[in-house]
This record gives sequence, structure tokens and C-alpha cells, in this order.
Amino acid sequence: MRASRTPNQPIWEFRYREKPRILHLMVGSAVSALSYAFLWLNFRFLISDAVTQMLSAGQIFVTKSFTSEAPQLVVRLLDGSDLTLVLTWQRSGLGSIAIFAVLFLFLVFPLQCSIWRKIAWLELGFIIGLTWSFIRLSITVLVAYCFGTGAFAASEFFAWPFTDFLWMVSVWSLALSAMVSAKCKQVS
Amino acid sequence: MVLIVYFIFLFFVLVMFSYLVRHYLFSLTALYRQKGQSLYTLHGLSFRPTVSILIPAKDEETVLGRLLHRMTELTYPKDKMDVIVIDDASTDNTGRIADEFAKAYDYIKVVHRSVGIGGKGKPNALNDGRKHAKGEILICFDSDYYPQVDIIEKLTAYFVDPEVGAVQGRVTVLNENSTWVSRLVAIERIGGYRVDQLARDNLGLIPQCGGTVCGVRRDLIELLGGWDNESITEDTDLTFRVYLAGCKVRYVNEAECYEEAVETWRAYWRQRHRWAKGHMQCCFKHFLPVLKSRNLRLREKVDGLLLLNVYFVPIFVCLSWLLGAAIFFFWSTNWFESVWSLLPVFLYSSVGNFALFFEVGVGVYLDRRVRLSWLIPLLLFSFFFNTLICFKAFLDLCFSKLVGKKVHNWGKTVHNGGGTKWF
Repeated sequence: MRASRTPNQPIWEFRYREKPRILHLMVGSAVSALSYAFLWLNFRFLISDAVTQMLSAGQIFVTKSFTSEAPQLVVRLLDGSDLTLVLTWQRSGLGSIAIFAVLFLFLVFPLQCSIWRKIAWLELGFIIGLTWSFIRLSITVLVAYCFGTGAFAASEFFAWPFTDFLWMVSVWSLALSAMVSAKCKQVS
Repeated sequence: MVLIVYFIFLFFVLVMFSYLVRHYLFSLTALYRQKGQSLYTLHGLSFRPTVSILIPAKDEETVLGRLLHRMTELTYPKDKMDVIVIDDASTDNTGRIADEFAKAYDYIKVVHRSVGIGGKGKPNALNDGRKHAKGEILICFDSDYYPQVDIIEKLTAYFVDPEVGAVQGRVTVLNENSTWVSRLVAIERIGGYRVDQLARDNLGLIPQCGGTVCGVRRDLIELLGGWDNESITEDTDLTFRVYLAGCKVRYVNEAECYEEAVETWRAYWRQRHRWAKGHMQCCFKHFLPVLKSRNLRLREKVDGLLLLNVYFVPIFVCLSWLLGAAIFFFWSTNWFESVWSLLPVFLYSSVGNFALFFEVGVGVYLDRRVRLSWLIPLLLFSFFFNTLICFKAFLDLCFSKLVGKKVHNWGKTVHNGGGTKWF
């Protein structure tokens, strides 16, 4: 920190700039690359399994197969028709998680705070992203089951990727407040 | 047809992407750029120009006394300053309060404007006050503001540079704990001033004059013919006129002034509608002159054009969402899905008071406001509100142009003096 604050100064008068933690950024890049690679290899299969099991438990007939590109689900809808759903990287939530990782890396990792705290928040963000992707996909398939393929496109349009960004901003904001808290404790 | 739709969609995405990059650079600059602003005291000790403080006031009895009392506490030498209250056809006790202060302090003067002459907007009142001002520097304060005691030293210090035509101080919300709206305004202000304005100043771009806590050289404003009476946002208009005249604006982060923010969505709507309409009016007025000007460097031109168009961004966002929906439902391809998934990132380019969510976050981080950062996701609400406001402002402006109606319609923000309780 380059500046100090006198006790009587309001906190917003605190003139502050900081030095970017390049090493933290590099470590964070490596951690997020490894985490993302792990997700890239496993996540789509995991989420297709989870969605299939959940829908099957709800008496919805779903079959799972694999294309050369990605896993796909075939859902038997209420009207008797079939909906084929290829879990592309965008649809599975991997796209949103990548955006989150980039935002988090460049905006949080260079800040002055413990690297373990940053990694913990990054991984927590990944977990929340994965959970949300599972919920979102299940809801859109359920909507398709009840209301047909047209409703599926509409629900996918509104639920993805707009709502994806809400969890990203929320997790990022909470992470930032955690960094500020840690820094304020250090200062005091 | 499909190609045209794709082309327009990509154009909007590109525009939003440029705002994303701009605000990301601002955030990094505010966080990490080591070149800080020089301390005012270095100049302030030797450079003390004469200053006239202009306070336009219309029906401000609840807050004017507080500001005038503060004027008496300013540390700037009283023989080098005068305070001019412009009572703009007030129908309450504003004039009487100002007169009482004028009786007690010889450096406070009051200009009373009658109902027939006054009430025609802030630029009109400022121009009237300018005629009675004697200082080399004119500094404006709105009646609901409450400045630091040494704010004049901080603001005037930058005028030691002859290229500086105007300076702008930082605005901080006084009543942020009053309502959810004032809290959202507070974080918008933090992003807008602590990050956006400061970064623009550091990068040598175009910091914007606000309508208050703003100082301008008297000879420059005389040269420019005063504030534009037809302009709804005379501050933005002044910014560009200063740059087009070959001078520059400096932003002084340490010169803080506390404002009473709007507390209801209705008041928020009225205030932002006026800002949006005025800003768009300035865009129509200054777009080509900025583009053609020889007084502006390339980066100032780019930043100036982005600044002028900032209130159009929510409209671009909506149009790109509509086009995106059309493409998504009718002509979707795999590559489009990738672009589509990035669209919310661009959408957030205009969340809040036209600052990215992370720009606001960086401001909150730099100011160490832990709890305010929890509210950042709620900026989505003000974004939707701003989108409606900008659409209406644009339609109003177009309608005014079409029917030849005078654009100027002064909508005053009502202040209740509620901010006082936070002292």
C-alpha cells in the first residue's frame, strides 16, 4: 500500500492504489486451466448422467447416447414426440464457467490478498456454476417435456445465458467483499 | 436478409465490446496505475486565484442553509472569494435564507430572479450569476451539496496549468443508507467517479464536468459565450466545448463533495431521464465537431465519441437482444451460440450508471466498502430502469426534433434535506 489513512479521515478519502500480484495471477491461471481441463473432459458426461437420473426418477423417459461431438439426451415428451438435446459446451454451462474464470482471473487474482482465499473462491465459483448449469438444464428439459419443443427454445433463450451471468456477478461480488474484509482487517 | 440481420447484430456486439474494453482499461488503471495525482498543497500554497462560487437555487429552502453555512467554513481566503446565490424564482423561503446570509457575510451575494425571468433552467441561472461574479475561476455547487472545507484549494490548484479550462471534483452520496435507491446510486457514483473519472484523467482522456463541484475559468466561459441556455445537461455540453476550444478538463479525486441522492424510483426516473435526454442532445450537437476537431488527439476523440454515445448503449443492448432472439429462434448456427453466450457480458457494459459491474466493484474495493459490494448484482434493476429511461428520452428527443418543439424542459430534482441527518 502506498498511502496511509488517518483515523479521522472517512474511509472513502483513503487514497489507494496497489501493485498487481503477477505471481498470484500466474498461479491462478494454472489452477483455473487445470480445473477447466478437468471439467472439459468430465463435466458433460457427468451432467448428462445427473440429468438423466433425475428425469428418470421423475418418470420421464430419457435415453443417453454419445455423438462424436458431445453426449446427447433424447427425451420422450408428453405429446409423444422426441427431443434430441446435444450437450454442447455452451449448453452444458462450460461457456459460462469459462467467462467466469477469465473475469475472476484478471480482476481478483492480481489483488492484494491471500492466494488460498482466491483459489477457494475460484473453485467455489466453479462449483456454483456447475450446480446452476445442472439446475438450468433440468428445468429447460422439464419445460420441454411439459410444453413441447417451442417452449424448450424459449426457456433456453431466457434461462441461458442471461441468468448464468447473475451467479457470476454474485460470486464475483462476494469474493471481492471477502478480499476487502481481509484487507480492512490487515489495515486496522 | 439474414446476412443483414447478422451484420447489424455483430455491429451492436462490436460497439458493446468496445465499451467493455474501455471500462476494463479504466478498472485496471484505477487499480494499478502508479502515477497518482499530485497533491494540491504543492500548488495551493503559492497559487490562489480569485474565485466566485455560483449556487443556483430554486425552491431549496430545506438544503440551502446547510450549504451556505458550509461556505462560511471554507478555508480559502475570504478576500479572494465571493459566493453568489442565484435565487431562481423560488416560491418558498430560499430567497429569504440567502438574504440572511448575505446580511451577515459580505462575501455572500444574492441575485433574485423574478418569476417571469427565472425558472428557465440551471444554465440560465448560471449565466445570470456569471454577470455578477468577479473571480478568475467560477465554481458551481448545487444547493443539496456539502463540500469539504478545503475543496476550493483542491480544485483551483489545477488551474496553475494554463491548458486546464475546467476541473471537476468527486461526488459522494451522503444519504446512501436512506433507501435501496440511494444505495444503488451510491455504488454507481463510486464506480463513476472513483474509477471512471479518475482513470480518464490518468489516461489523458476526457474527464467529464458534472453540473456541480465543477470549476471553470471565467475568461474561457466568457469566450464560449456562457453556458448554453438550450442545453439540458449544460455540464456535458461544457465539457465538449472546453475540449473543442483547445483546453482540457481535470478530475480531482481528493476534492470531495457530498450530495443528497434521489431516494425513490420516481425521482430516479426524472433525474436520469433529464440526463439521458440532455446527453443525447449533446451527442447530436457535438458528434461531428468532435470527429473533425484538430484540438483533440485521437484517443480523446475516441473516448469523446464513446462518452457522447453512452446513453445510447442500453438501446443498443435491447436491439441486439431482439436481433439475437430473432437469430436464435430462426437462423441459429453453432458459431452464433458462442457469440450469444457472450452477449450478457456486453450487456453488463451498461449496467448501472453506464459503468460495468466490475468497474463498480473495483471502486467499491478501492474505497473499502465491503457491504456495498453485495449490492452489485442488484445493479441489474437499475440497468433495466435505465434502458426504459433511455428509450423514452430518445423518443422524446426525436419527437421534439420532428415537431420543432423546444427540447428544453427543465425538470428539477426535489431535495428534502434528509441528508442532514447523516452528519
